[in-house]
Amino acid sequence: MKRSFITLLLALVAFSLVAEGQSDKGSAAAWPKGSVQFVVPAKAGGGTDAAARIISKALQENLGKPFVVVNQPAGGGSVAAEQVRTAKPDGSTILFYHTSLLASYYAGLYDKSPLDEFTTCVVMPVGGSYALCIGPDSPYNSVEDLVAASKASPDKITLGVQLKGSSHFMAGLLTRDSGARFRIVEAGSDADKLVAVQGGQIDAAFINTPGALQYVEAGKMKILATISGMPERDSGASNYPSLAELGYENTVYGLDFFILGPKEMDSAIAEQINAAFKDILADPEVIDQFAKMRMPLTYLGLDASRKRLMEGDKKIGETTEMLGLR
Amino acid sequence: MNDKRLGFIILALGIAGILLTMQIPVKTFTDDPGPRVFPYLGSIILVISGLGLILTRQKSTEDTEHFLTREGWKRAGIMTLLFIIYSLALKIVGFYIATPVMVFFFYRQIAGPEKTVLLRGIIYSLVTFGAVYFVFSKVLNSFLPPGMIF
Amino acid sequence: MEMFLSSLFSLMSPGPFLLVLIASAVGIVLGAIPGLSGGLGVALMLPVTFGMDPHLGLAMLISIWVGGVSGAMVGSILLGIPGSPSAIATCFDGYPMTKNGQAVKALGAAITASFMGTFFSILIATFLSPVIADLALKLGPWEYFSLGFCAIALVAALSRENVFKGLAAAAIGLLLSSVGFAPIDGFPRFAFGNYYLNGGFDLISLMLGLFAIKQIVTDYARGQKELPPVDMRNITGFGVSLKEYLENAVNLVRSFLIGLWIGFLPGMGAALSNMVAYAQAKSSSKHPEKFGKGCVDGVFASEISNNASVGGSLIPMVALGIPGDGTTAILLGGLMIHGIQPGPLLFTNNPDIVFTLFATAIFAAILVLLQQYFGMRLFPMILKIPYHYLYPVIIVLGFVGVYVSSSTTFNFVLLLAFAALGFLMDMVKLPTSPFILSFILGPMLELNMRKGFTYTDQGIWPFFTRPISALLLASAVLSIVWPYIKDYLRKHHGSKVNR
Repeated sequence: MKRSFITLLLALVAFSLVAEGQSDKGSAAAWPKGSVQFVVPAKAGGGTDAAARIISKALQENLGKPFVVVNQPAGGGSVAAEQVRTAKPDGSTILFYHTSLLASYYAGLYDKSPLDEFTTCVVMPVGGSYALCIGPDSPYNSVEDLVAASKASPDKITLGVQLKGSSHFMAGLLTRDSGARFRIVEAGSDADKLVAVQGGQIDAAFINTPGALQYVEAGKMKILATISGMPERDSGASNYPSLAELGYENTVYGLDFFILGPKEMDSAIAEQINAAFKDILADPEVIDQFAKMRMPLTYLGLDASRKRLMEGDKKIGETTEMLGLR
Repeated sequence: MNDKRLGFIILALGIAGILLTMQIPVKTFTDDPGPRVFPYLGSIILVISGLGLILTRQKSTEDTEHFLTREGWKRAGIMTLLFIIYSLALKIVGFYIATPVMVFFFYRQIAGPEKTVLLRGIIYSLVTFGAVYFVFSKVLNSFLPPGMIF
Repeated sequence: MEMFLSSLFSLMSPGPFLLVLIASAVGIVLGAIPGLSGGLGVALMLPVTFGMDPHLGLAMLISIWVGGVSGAMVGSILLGIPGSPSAIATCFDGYPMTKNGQAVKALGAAITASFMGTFFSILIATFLSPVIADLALKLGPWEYFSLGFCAIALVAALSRENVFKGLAAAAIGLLLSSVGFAPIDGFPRFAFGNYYLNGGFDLISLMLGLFAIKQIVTDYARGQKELPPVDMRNITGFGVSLKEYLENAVNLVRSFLIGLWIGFLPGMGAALSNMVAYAQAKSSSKHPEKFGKGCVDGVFASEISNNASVGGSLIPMVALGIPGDGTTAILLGGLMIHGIQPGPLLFTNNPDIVFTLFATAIFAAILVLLQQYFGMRLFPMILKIPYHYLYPVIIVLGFVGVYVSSSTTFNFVLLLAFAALGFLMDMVKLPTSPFILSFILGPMLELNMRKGFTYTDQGIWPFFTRPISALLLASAVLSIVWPYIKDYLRKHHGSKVNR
């Protein structure tokens, strides 16, 4: 018995030594060297996941190496982020997500700064917006009505968000600007919020606009206003005013997608990743797919990306403090 | 293990659960019962079950046969050890080395010394490794454990 | 109607036909391999469909899914190792049947039940989606909580032989499911600073550890060398007599409805329905003691319900754009990527897509039935493979399956830990079904309980005042108490007679 174990251990050691002697410990060589893990903190099937899959496929076609999407939605992105942060810094494991990770950081869900503890490879501002939605039989016809009702019966009008996520921030900003007294409740993902609003279990919610529009057309929901990273109204939903133009000037909050790598990643690799994204974001097919999903993406170069992330980080940090979420 | 002893263990687990749960900080919005309620619930059910097992006399089903003989425990131990080694190997040296080697050893262990045929074992290990590698890496495009050494 | 038929006919042409055939075969294989599932296959194949025509792409994905849900039972029955969570309950009676030499019969029952589940649930989905879908909207967190509570009560009620052991197992499941980020507030509970545990325990690791690894260790320790020979005589058709089908008619219908309903509820699917249907079948049966020893009723219940969830999940997906379970969520993503916006207008804007979905699903179900029919006599050949060749392959597949679905080697620790847990539970005879069910339902229960409290300022009352929720809670309590009442009445009545 003992003999076989010794044999076993020897075999393992022997194998590893042989193989190690032949391994290639290349430095910042061409990226990607092999398969790339695209870690996405979103459930399979949502908007973020869909975007990740389009991108990973385009990258795979352009660069000829496999790009595998790994879904890891737990903890507002923190588990996925940790996975990437502690991965080998050779560009084989990168994080694809959006700026709500910054929100998670500042609100205490994740304890490492996405800005400082990672390497920014590319930031892609997303067009499109979120919509403030209410049920089909709701008595309110404007944001003003809703706000007034909440002030008349404080802590009764329910506003559905994803706690400590982007929608929570949007709700907070609106509350601050309008003085409304909403009852802010956890309502889950966009899909969950859609059900809850239509079913009348909550009075209002912030839901991504492209998803909401169809329900409005079908008469199952109403949109009161939109909110995005810019104060103007969403050109894809031009019937609806933006919250900023209605007078809530600080209620501006948008999402940027980004790719982050581990901190020690070579800047040469970050540049190559950035360049790869430049190519695919200029690809008409990719542009078309994102346009159909009403999520047009803008490409930013490496320096512009880093700058944008810093701005976003600052803004979200300030907003978190303002909202008392720290 | 008779039921009474089991009852005590379960009771202890329940109490441990309650103690651990008390350490969870509570920060809730709007009437939310908080993150402690659920674990408390589970722990309390454990406590009740534990007490129930200790205090009541259940009809003991005829299972006087031992769960495992001494020989059985030894074998279970060996198999467990092999599993642990495989896990460590996957983590340390990665799939490409760990699998062919370990498959051979699993084969040998399950087959027992009489049925082991060295050549067949080696071929089988390599084929299994190759097939899994092919299907997962090439066809399904997924990742296989890479190992820490390289 | 004609659109449905025309979709169906277009599937008969060689190209699509071959696609559905191969995809469903792939699905069966994926479903059967422990650690993989049809859902995973759908996720992996999704990018492949980007360049394809959306109809064909969807057809392929649906076929993989249907194959996967139907294929999972192969491992459950022949090896006692479920291919995916949707077939856990099939193990409970399927594997004992194999040990009794009735593998072919078990397979036959599972195959036919699977077909019936898919076929009828898709029919219902095709014609009744718009009507039923709005029901999904009426249900709020209170109803979901009460539903989950009811399900666990059912299973706990099963362990009448020793209620406390059943409760303890369920409680352990609940506690283990609370490890990780708490819902709503996100505090990492019981994680002891280990970030791997922040996400909680992964179901696949649990399932493989509890079933595959534990099984292998136990079998080896007991010196199991061979399984009894399969009884191949008197096998006509599917090996199940008409009489047995008729006897199980109520069981089949009820389990079907359970599967349809659970699949229909957004976010819950086959993984849940098979266990609930099995539990309900056992508790309503006239001979509950036969369950777990090789009773075909159990196999029927589990397999018809998990396939009924396929059609069930499609209903909200198609009519409302809301996923009925994990796999439909991926399908929705697929639609979005093809530029098709899912939602209530899907029927109006893209009826062809909708009918492709339904037609392909039914077609795939038929092809799966045929493929499995021919496979039925082949599958048991797996049993003839000596363990020293069979088990190492399963072991590798298990480990790879865990890694592929989670991308972290830490889960190997979980895998072994759960195997050890399962081993211990067997030693003290703690039942596994309440444990697994509570583990799966735990997060959903807690989330909905807490949501339910926050949505109104009436605290706990809506759980009892909302009609559906109240009904479910009442049934839960009743199902626990009823057997005791029945016993009491019988004794009372009996003593009256004796006087």
